[in-house]
Amino acid sequence: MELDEMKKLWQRQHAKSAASEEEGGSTITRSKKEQTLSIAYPGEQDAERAASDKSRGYLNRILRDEYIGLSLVVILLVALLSLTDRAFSAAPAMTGYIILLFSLLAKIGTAIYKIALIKQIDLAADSLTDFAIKMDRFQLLVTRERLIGLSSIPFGLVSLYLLIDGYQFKQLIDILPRLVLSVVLAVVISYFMYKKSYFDKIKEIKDHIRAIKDFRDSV
Amino acid sequence: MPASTETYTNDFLSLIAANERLIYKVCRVYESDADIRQDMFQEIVLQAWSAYPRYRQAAAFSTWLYRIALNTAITFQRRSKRNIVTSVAEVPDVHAMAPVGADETYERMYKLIASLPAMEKALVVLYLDDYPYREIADMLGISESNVGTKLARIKEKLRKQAAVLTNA
Repeated sequence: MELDEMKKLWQRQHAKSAASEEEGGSTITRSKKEQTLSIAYPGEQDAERAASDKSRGYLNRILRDEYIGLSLVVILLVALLSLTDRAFSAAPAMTGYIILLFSLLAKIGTAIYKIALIKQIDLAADSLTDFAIKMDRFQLLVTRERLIGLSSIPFGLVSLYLLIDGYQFKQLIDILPRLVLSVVLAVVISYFMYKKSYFDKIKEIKDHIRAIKDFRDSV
Repeated sequence: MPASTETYTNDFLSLIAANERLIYKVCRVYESDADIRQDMFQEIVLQAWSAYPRYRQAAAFSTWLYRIALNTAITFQRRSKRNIVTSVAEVPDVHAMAPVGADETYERMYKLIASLPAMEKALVVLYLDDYPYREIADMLGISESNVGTKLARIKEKLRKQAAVLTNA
């Protein structure tokens, strides 16, 4: 079947559909569309409020999740700052404190960057290729961030231990072999656990970005 | 934002009503399952509703809506990882994709379109809907000459897929 032949078929079919005002027996009536909006904005039809509601639609949902995540990290940062006195009690505690502080600051920086990325995405103004690439890049960033975040949990725990009990250096020496073993095990398990769900996903997203770029750039 | 929010909502609903076939076309091309298609329809209407305050009427509403519908459908399809096929032989039953009353030729057409990657589907849908190359290029983010080149390649690809379909 040729594309031009398809074009004639397509236009004939849709002209027929327009005449019968019926498509697949599921024409959405006005009340149905109002229902669609009320599903999104329950209990109200107030367009102004609805349009400013940031909790609907996947882009807004992503943005909302990022704001929630950012708020949680800020709370953690405040909690950490409240332990500043303890950090000055011993060098290991200070080490743990600094690692945790920089981790949280990095997390806040990443969250702000992600929010800025999401705000740049406009599915009504971006071209299809730009939109797809932006979404994929964002997803790639999130996937990598999760991978790094989850893999660094053991290190975070060690840092927290150093901060809380770091001044008891002898105790740390006692448990050091177990601590090292736990960290190694956690890293190995994390690696295999996330290989499938994250590394493969990263590869898939990269392939998708490449495919979109090829589509856009190849002549 | 208009003074009367009721008028604002009514305007939007009227525009959607006038262009709902456009959304159906996109949903039908990207999704074979009727229930998921309804979800996709809702997602498109929601995205259009969210973006509506920024609609400036510089472009025709249908063109503006087409961009939202295609962007949403492509992302929706990718998120659900459904209907991502590389050959017409992998295309599931497309009976539900073709409009009611459509004969075997239409089903065959939908099956061939369904075998294309997401971006090529978008290009074909816009071409079938008789959009000028300039607008297709603008919506896809490629050059006008590239539209022609890609359509020529897609024609060739569809010819091959049609042969596979005939031999199957």
